[in-house]
This record gives sequence, C-alpha cells and structure tokens, in this order.
Amino acid sequence: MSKLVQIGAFAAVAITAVVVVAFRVATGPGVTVDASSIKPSQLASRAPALSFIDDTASDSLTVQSLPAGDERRHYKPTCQRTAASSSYLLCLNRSGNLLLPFQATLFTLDLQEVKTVPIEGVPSRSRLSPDGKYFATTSFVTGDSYAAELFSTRTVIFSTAAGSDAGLNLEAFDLIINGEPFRFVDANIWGVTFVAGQDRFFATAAFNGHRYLVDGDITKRTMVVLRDNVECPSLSPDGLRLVYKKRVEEGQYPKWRFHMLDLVTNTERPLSEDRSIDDQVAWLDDDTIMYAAPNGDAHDIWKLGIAGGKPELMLKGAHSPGVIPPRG
Amino acid sequence: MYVSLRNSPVAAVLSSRGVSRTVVTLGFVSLLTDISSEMVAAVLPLFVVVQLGLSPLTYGFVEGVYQAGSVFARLLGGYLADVRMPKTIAAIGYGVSAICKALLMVATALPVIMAIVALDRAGKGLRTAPRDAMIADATPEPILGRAFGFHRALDTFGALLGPIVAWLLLMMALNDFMLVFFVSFCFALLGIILLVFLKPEHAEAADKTAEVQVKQTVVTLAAVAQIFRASSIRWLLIITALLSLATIADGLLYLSLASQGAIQTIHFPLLFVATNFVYLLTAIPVGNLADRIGRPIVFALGYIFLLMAYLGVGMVGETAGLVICVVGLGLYYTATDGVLSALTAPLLPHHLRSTGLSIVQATQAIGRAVGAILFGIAWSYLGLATAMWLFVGLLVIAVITAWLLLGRVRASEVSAT
Repeated sequence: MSKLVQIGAFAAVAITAVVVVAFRVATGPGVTVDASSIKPSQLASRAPALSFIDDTASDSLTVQSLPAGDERRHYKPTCQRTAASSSYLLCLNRSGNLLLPFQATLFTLDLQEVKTVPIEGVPSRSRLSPDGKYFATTSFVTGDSYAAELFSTRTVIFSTAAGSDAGLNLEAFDLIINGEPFRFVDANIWGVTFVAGQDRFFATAAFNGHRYLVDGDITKRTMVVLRDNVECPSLSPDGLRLVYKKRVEEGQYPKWRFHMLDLVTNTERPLSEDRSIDDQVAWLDDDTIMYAAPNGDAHDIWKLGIAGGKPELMLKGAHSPGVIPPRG
Repeated sequence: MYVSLRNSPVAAVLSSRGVSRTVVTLGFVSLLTDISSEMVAAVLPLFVVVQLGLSPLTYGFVEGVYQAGSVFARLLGGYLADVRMPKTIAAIGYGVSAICKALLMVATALPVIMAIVALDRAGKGLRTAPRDAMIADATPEPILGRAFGFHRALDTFGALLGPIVAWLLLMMALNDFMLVFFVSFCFALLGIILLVFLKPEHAEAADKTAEVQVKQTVVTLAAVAQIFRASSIRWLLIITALLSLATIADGLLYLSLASQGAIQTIHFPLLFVATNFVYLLTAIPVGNLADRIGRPIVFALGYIFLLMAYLGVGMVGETAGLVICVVGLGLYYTATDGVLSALTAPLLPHHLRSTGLSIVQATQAIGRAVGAILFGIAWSYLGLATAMWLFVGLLVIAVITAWLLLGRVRASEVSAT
C-alpha cells in the first residue's frame, strides 16, 4: 500500500514538474514577435496606440491600438520601463553587462534601434520629450524604493540625435532658490517630464528632507525650485497641467495621493484616486491619466479622469503605459 | 560548490553488487538532492547580479554566507552524529533544504536571500551525519567501503547533472530563474519521497559505526586546548587561514569571466559543469601523483593551479583565458580537496582527530567567506582588474608563506612521533 502511495507521490511531483516546464517554455519567448520581422512603419500606421510592458508575456514591449480592445502585439525587447512619443519608443532593459546591468534603448516606431546608452543602477522612470529631441532615465543607484529612508537616484537627460551618447546628469545642474543658485551635493533628482519644443522639463529635486517641484532648463543647466512636496510630475499633452504624487503621510511607509497643479492659475487639488500609488502617471489625453497599481506580483494599468469619477481598470497584467499619438 | 569525489560513477556501477537496498535508495536520494542544490548553486550568482540587479559586492556577501554556512553545517552535523532517529533527522535536513528552494521563488531582497542560503546550508549540515550513520547501519562490515563508494558516486553524478539541468532550463525558457528554482524544488521533493518511505535496515550488530562516523561525540574546551598545544597544528591553521583568505570562490570567478564577456550569460551554468568535468577526469591521476611525490607538494601545486585560474580571468575576455580559468580551477579542486584533511589527520592524537579536522575545515570555510566578501568589496570599489591583481598578489604571498611553513609542519610532525 505504502509502495503505491510512494509511486503515486513520486509520479505526481515528476509530472507536475514536466507540465510546468512545458508551460513556461511554451508561454515564454514563443509569443514574442521578432523585431526584424516587422515591416517599417507598420507600427506607425497603427497610431494612435498604447505602449506598455506586458507582465503576462515575460515583460515584452507591447503595443495595442487605441481605442483599447485590440489584441496585444508583443515585441522582442523585454523592458523594465518604457516610454513613447510620436516618433520613438524608449525601453529600459537588461544589458547583459554584469557591472552595468541596465541600459536604455531608443527605437524608432518601426523598432529600428537608434541608440543604446548604459544606465547606472536599477531603472525607475523613463520619459521621451513630445518633440522627440530628448529622453530621460531615472534609476536607483542605492536603495530600491522612493519609500525607503535612504536611497539615491541618478537622473540623466540624453539627446535622441545619433552620435551624442553622453547624457546630462541632472545632479550637475544648478538649483535656483529665490533667484540664488545653489549646489547640493546630496540632492536627489527624479521623475523628469518634458515640455514640448522648449528644451525645458519639470522634475523632482529632493534636498534638506524636502521634495520640490523644479522647472529645468536644458540649455542653461538650471533647475528653478517651484513648490514643496511634489514627486514624479507628469505634464499634460496641452502643457497646462501637472499631475504628481504628493506625500500625505510621512514615515517608514509613506502614503501618496495624486494631485493636479493647474499651471495657469497655480492652484493644486487632489484627484479622485484614494489609493497610495507609487508611479509617474502618463496622459492618455488632455483629460485622462494612466498609471500602474500593483496587483500581487504583477501590475494593472488604471485610468482616471482628472475631472473626477472613479478610477477604471484599463489593462490587466501591464505597467509603464505610454501613448504613441497620431502623427501630424 | 564543487563536486566531492571519492569515486567515479563508473566505479559506482561496478561496486553496486551486494550493496543493500537502503544504501541504493540513499544513493538516489543524494543524487536527486544534489541535482536540486547544484542547479541552484549554478544560477545563484546570475540570479543575484543579473536578475536582481545587485552589485558584485552584494554577491560577495551571499558567497560569504554560503561558505561560512558550511562551518555551522559541519558543527551541527557533528553534534547529531549519534542521534537516535537518524532517518527523522535526515528527513528534516532534506526538508529544510527543499523549502529553501521554494522560498527562493519569492525572494527578491538581499537579507532574505542570505537567510535562505544559510538555512539551506544548515539543512545540509543536519542531514549528512545521520545519513552516513544509516548507510553504516545497513551495511555489513566487509563491504562498508563499497557502500560508501557507491553512495558518493551517485552524489557526485547528481552534482554534475545539476548545472546541466539548470542550463537546459535557462536555454529553453529564456532566463526564467523561477522555473529553475521550481524544478530544483521538485527534485528535492522527489528525494524526500524516496527517503520517507524507506525502512532502514540493520546489518548484524557491530561497532563498525564508530569507525565510519567521522564526527566527534563531545567537544570539550579542554580537548580543543589540547589540539592547539601542538605547534604543527597552529602552523597548519595559519597556512589554511592564509590560503583560504586569498581564495576567490568559484561563483565570483565565473561572474568575473561573465562580466568581461568571456561567456554569454545564458551559458553561465556550463562553467560549473566544465570545472566538475576537469575534476572528474583528473581526480585519479592526481591522486596517484600525490602518493608518489607527496601530499604537501600536490597541495601547494593546487594553489599554483588556482593562481593559473586567476590569471585566466586576467586575460580579459579571451577564450583561452576562459579555458585556463576553468581548467585551473578544476585542477585546484583535485589537488586540494581532501588533501588538507589527509595532511591534518596524522598530526592529531587519535581521540581528537575529528575535532581537529573540523577546526581546520572551519578555519578554511571562514577564510573563504572573508575572502569572498573582500573580493566583492575590492571589485566594487577598485574595479575588477585591480581586484583580480590584488588577489593574485595575496595568493602569491600566501603560497610562498605556506610553502615555507609546510616545512615546519612536517618537522614538528616528525618530532611528535
């Protein structure tokens, strides 16, 4: 009798192992489309489209036509973070180099590689400028969360132009407080969002225990300190509003709420998302934001109208959303 | 992290005649468990550095815990050598290690991974002595050697298969580490299923267990003090500490190779396979050589081979460097594994032999742990090239010092007898 139990248990474990291996092998790289098999501008013709990382398909870079409802098209690069603009896709991915394990790869919309630059640390945020001139990466050099007591970020702005691979480390920019330039050795900069056509950006600069919204100038290499308690700003497509996370509870487990700043009237109000979410939002259109909220080990992408109303589940098992707007 | 070889798989098949069912079953339990643990060992450096994006500095600490964990594993096993219920204790040991493989599937934070690695080693320490006691219990005196040879050969075979299984899985399911941990867990579970249904046999009562059990019964402080009174042992401990401190653990050497692009990261587990192969191929000829020219010379030669492995890494990215490193490391294990114990044993009075051996082994493990951490720090702060040359220098000094001091060890050995 016990012999039978033993054989049964042995077979059960062995069969489970074989089935799981077969399943993982089948669902792993199998669904990925090789970038080389995609015809030029195949992707561009599908705009407007949503780009994101599919948690359910080995973190592949994925594109889905808008309005939503289309199948997910998986592409070969697997990314930690992505961003999109009307001319580029940005993918923060693994380099295979053990000392600088991550890199940023800039693709055209037909997935031709434009350039790849190494990035220090673990990827956290990625953005492309709407005019296609720049891209920015934020990574954690030490620590791995904005909630941690001690962490250090590196934020670098790169030009999309071929041949100029050196980035601008934002820690080397002057911080302007009340018209006076300052340098803080221990300042942390993260969460860049670009202003179209102006060589200008917004970001978070943390120093002296505060997290400030800064207005950066790429040509002058300055960042003007605007207001306190703003993290990971994101500028609306029309350039009139910023949505960011605002710390509403300090401590070991801080809580954030999304807030919106009207840049015309300089007034701030909370948005109708009650959860504390650690993401830099992306704009679906001038009235709607998108962000990823953790769901177990994976993420789901949610959307929220800035006018109010309830957050809506948009895509299951996905994160790092971006919009490829229609051209022209 | 290397294959422990006292017999080859071929010898196992030849010697299985007359070996009891208990021993055959325990052999297969070890085969499955070694596949399980060696497949994890072969991907752990990649998992920590590539998958989790942690620095080589961090992996140095993981390697340190792995090495130091074996100290506590040995001590734990030693105390449990005379336990009443060897099967239960062994099963707990196998169980703990199996659970660790499952835990790795959800671990992402460094302290958690270090705790899992330590627990895994503790499980190994817990099971070794009771398992050996079971083998001895089930085997009639005249074929004891054959029984242990058979068991160790299957064990070795498992250690060789583990990295191959891990490599195949990584190839099939592109860098799916969770899958490697899951399959490792399944192999561990299969081993446990074999073990729990085993009814231990008892050969005719005899006091042969005393001969087989390598572990001490009770370690008293006075006994330890007595060991240290012999100057030859003190010199041997200094030599051991120096040499192991200058040793870069294989996981870190392989990471160095991979970071230079000498091997594609997906083929990383093959480095473990290759080293094990060199070890298997050279074990018998080098053993014969040791008998002819003397153990101390072969032991010193082992560290020259280790130096060769370091210089292989120094040949940045060259395929020749990769081959030199892997061959050097394999030969290093062949020439030094077991030889240290063989050198130590004659220096100790009979009743303190196992205690003395465990002290020397503990010194070696702690030395390697500190060495791994130091190398990780040097790599992170000074760069790989500087760290490599630093350890080349350290090893050269250690080998020269050891060579000079080995003379003293032998001299006092003579005067002691």
